[in-house]
Amino acid sequence: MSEPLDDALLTELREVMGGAFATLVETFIADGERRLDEVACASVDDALRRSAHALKGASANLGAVRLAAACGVLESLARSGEREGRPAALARVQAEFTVARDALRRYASA
Amino acid sequence: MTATIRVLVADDSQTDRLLLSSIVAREGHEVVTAVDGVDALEKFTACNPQLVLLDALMPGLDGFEVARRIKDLAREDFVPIIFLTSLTEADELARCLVAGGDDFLSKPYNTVILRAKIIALERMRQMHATLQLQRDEIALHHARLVREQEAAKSIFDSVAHSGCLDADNIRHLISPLAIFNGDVLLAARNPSGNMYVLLGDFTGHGLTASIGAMPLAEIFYGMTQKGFLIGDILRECNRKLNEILPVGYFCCATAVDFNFWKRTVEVWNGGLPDAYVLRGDGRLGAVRSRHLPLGVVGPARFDATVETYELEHGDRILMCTDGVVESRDEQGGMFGAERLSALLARTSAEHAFEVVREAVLSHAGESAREDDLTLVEIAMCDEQEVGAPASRNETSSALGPLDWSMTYELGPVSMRAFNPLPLLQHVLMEVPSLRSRGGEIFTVLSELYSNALDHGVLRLESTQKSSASGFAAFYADRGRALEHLDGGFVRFEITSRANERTGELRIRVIDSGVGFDHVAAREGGPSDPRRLHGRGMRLLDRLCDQVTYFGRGNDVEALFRWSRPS
Repeated sequence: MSEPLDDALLTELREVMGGAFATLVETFIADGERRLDEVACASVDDALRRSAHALKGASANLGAVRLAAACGVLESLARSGEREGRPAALARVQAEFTVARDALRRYASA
Repeated sequence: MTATIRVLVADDSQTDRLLLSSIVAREGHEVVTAVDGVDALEKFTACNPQLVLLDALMPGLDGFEVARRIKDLAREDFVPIIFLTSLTEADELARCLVAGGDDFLSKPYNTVILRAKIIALERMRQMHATLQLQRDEIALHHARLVREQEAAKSIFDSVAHSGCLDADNIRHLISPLAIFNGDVLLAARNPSGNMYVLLGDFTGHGLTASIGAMPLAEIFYGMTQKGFLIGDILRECNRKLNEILPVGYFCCATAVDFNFWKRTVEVWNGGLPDAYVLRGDGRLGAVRSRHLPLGVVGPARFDATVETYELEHGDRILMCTDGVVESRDEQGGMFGAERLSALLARTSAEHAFEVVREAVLSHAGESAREDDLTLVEIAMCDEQEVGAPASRNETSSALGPLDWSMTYELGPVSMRAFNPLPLLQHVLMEVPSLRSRGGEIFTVLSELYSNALDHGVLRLESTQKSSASGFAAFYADRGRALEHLDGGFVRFEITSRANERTGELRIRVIDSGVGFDHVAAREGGPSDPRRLHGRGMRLLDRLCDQVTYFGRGNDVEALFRWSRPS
């Protein structure tokens, strides 16, 4: 399995953000947790798709490539209306979020 | 690095908003953030950003709708919108642009690309703003130009299409909408009641074309009123235009002199399409252009020779500018001179003008509004039908010079090139009581002088003039004889006598010629009304209170009596 974070992107991000990098990471984590709740509770396909889409965008921006990919899978399942495989995809997103969160925090404090 | 601009960042994701704001701020721009679509519209209105970064998918009002509304709010200003999107499918990206987006930026954001896009769109925005500024300026200039043109047009119209154009025997068509099309139509009566009409077409359009109209009209009206011959007027117009117009600019023109007493018309055509002589009996004559347009050559080379035609009551002259024969239909086909003459050949003189007018207008259709087509027709009639020239109605209570006499004798050099009539008329009109008969006096002066010169000094046979073709030959002979004149004289002896209430004017004209059998001519005249040369004598009898022929007929006196109104 590939690395959870895109190191090159994060290096650039840290340079761009400077002192605000840690804030960005914490914002992403807080934002992500809220999105995860939305994803878990979504009763309508469209709401699920939107939340997965939003989390995908933010993850991609933070270089959390595996999380972004997992969100992408969930988003396309929601778009197609396909229900089978959805619990597994959701579990994958949750797992990748935890991995990304921990990795980002480590990266930020390094 | 571009100049600092204000950027609106609208994204419901706090992470993306923070990230983007940091990137944009680091580029030195001012950032305003909005958390959703409604907020984005409020911030847009409040902060007036020069660039909008807009998330496509937001809860509530989505990015597409926000983009549409922003474009509406911005009206004519160009406010670039960059869509922020992790959309990847082509049709969804296309939707961003259709909704009014100018570009899009995919997640994850690439700092280098974003910077480049901001620079590119800011350049476009500035270009648009400049363009708009220039457009507004142009619109302003244009509006001013139109205002000035309208003012100038009203001056031009009052100069270029004026005089006695509304006389009952004149019908004309001037393309109504063309501003300064370069066509000029002038009509005026000279002191003896002759009607002069000049149709001119200046080369080119616009102001250049119209500027020459001013001196042309001034010369035409001024000299006509003073009693100059049409040839003198054309010569002066040519001299003036030659002097003032730049090389390559000139005025094609046709001029006519209608003499209602003698039922003759003199025509001069320099560069315009054929003028037509329309006769009641159906005969159709064309007056070709035989001269260079006005303003082309200097005075020495200018030829003011006119062609003279004898007309019956109701006969007409039709003149047009080349806009008429060159008017094009929708397929580009020209109306053409052949079509015009064929049309005239099968139409009665009376209806010719209307028929041609309708034919040309329906041929040209809409484009007739832009073409410089002018069409004019003048009918031969009795002077009473068109009324007396305005100058004759002047009256004055002053007495002026009443008892005086003068002798004015012209030798061969003067007679060759000089027309003494305007000068003499001017002297006579100093007597206020004679002004009301100015036209008659001028006609008599002209008649006496041309008799003395043509038949007395130049010894031309008046019988020549009894046929229309003889007319042309007569004028050709006259020109040659004048050129070689090296002796002889014409003497005017003018006497004014008066008391406070009544007076008399005697105009005696003596020439060096052999005279003529005035007794026989007088008796034979009325029995043969078709004889042109008899017309002169009958005219004198009609206009003067008394005409006396002395000696062998080379000495004639015309008497006018007047009394002041009590």
